[in-house]
Amino acid sequence: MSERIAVEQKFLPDLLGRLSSLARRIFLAGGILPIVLVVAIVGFAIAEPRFLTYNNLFNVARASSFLVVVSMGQMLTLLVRGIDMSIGSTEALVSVCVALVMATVLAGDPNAPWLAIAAGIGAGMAIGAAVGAINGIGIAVFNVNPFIMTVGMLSILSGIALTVSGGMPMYGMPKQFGEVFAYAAPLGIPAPVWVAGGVFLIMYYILNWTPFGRRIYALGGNIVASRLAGISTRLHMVMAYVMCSVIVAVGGVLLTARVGTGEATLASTHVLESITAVVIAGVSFFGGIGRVGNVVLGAFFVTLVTNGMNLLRVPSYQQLIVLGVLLILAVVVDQVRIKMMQQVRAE
Amino acid sequence: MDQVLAPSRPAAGGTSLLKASGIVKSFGGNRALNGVSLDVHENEIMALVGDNGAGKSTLVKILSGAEVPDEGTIHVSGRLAAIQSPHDAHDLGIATLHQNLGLVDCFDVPQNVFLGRELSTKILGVLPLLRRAEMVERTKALLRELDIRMPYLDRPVSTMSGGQRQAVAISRLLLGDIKLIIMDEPMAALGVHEGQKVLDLIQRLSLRGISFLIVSHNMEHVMSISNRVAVLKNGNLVGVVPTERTTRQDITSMIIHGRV
Repeated sequence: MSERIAVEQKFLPDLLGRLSSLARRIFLAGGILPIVLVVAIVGFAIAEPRFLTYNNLFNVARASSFLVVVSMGQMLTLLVRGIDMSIGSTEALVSVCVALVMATVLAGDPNAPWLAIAAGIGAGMAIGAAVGAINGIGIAVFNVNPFIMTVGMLSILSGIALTVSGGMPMYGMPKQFGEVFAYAAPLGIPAPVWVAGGVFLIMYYILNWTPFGRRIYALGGNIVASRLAGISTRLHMVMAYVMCSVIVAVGGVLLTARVGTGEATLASTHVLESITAVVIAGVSFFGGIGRVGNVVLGAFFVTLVTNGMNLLRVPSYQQLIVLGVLLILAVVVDQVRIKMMQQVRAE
Repeated sequence: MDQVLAPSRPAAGGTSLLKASGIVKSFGGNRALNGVSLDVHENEIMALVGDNGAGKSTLVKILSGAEVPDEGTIHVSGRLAAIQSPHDAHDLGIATLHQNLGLVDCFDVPQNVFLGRELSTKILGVLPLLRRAEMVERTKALLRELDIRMPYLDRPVSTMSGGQRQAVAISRLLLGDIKLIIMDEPMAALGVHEGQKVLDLIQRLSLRGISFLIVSHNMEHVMSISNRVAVLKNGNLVGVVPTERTTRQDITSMIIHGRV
């Protein structure tokens, strides 16, 4: 008996010690994301059995695809040591213009829904590229602080979207738009998830396997060294913002298809959520560090938390509080991680 | 002492590698360089000294392509060269090691060595694809050839010592056909032991036919490593003297008084 107690007394601290050192290693290698993801899934599954059903996970996957897409855009700005506060209003402006163009083309020829859809999506992408170019040029050429530049653009874009739409939802898009881009599910996978997967593959390829992607990281890591190495830093910086806004525009198009109208107040929570997703995913605010695969998981995690809170009937006002706390905690934990990594180095 | 004022007098080795003539550069109303002419020979280690604000950094930036001169010409191996960018300089065989080393801290060794010169192929004729494995292999080969030992290559260089970082930065320069390495205060941030290692590396490389132009405040290093010393003051070249025929005091006096 006493032997058994002794074994237990030895075993328990030993196990705890091993678990904590394992957690420490996972934390140092991958940041806080793997840990909080597991905690959230286990926690919600215990609190609400419906959480882990196929139907619910299907819903989370579809709901997260919008945030996954825009977070990959946001990631690019953090990689070059910037930020994009204007992504929500970019999506809103894209939404309004996509709806306007589609409705106009469709009204001109009611038998050409696909022409309308193509024109609308083309317009949305063009707006994304233009917004990104303005952000990028303001930041890279005129040296406006990224936060200030994009907050200014937030106000401008939001103002344009509200002016164009008159503050009302815009109707008149072809019904095929929603059918295909929101509700179709080839091979049982929702269309927005397919699109998010496509954006992920392109981002993964560009960031990890092209000279351009490597230079984006280099630029964020040390802009002076990059310039001295002959990299055209301004061009790369502008391109990072253009890519960001184009990707965000893709998110805007998908969301518009989902809600079925052009909305000037679309996606207002995306700025906070995307920054939270990206920071939790271990993308550094100081540039040059971050993996696109983790960003996908980070955005999935943020959506998962929202979904879990919905299932637990947490009121949406209080969800805002949770999201804010999450963002701040993610940054704090990131700082702790950097300190711990430096200690490991010193050892 | 007259004969030492002599860019015309060739040092051991003799032929001109890099010849700058009448270089003028102003920033706003401020004239940083006032018609400086300098001639670095093949196989030579030239030290460039001068007080703060003498124009050393500006001259180094111009020779390395980071700045474009207002007036003056540069010849490389006897040919007129238009150096508009670090790329141009590199194509002419001139590479620069900056004081901050120009390393990206969060990058590992191969990523830093190939920074801005990434190897890639085109798939389907259009899509670029980094040749990552080849860059790692070529980095290993390069370090072996330079006799630089590193415990690991796949960690961020921010985790490395000052001397290791310096070695990464130097080996980075030697990728490609480099004839002249310009160094801005190469030993400034290093301890004695590590500084000596870098001096050894410079000497080893100079035996392989690479010339150096080294900006330094450290007179001991200057005297121990250079073949000739060039002195700048207030944007003018005071003179170029062979190291073996001068003393620390002479050079200090040139730096302070602006004459031999």
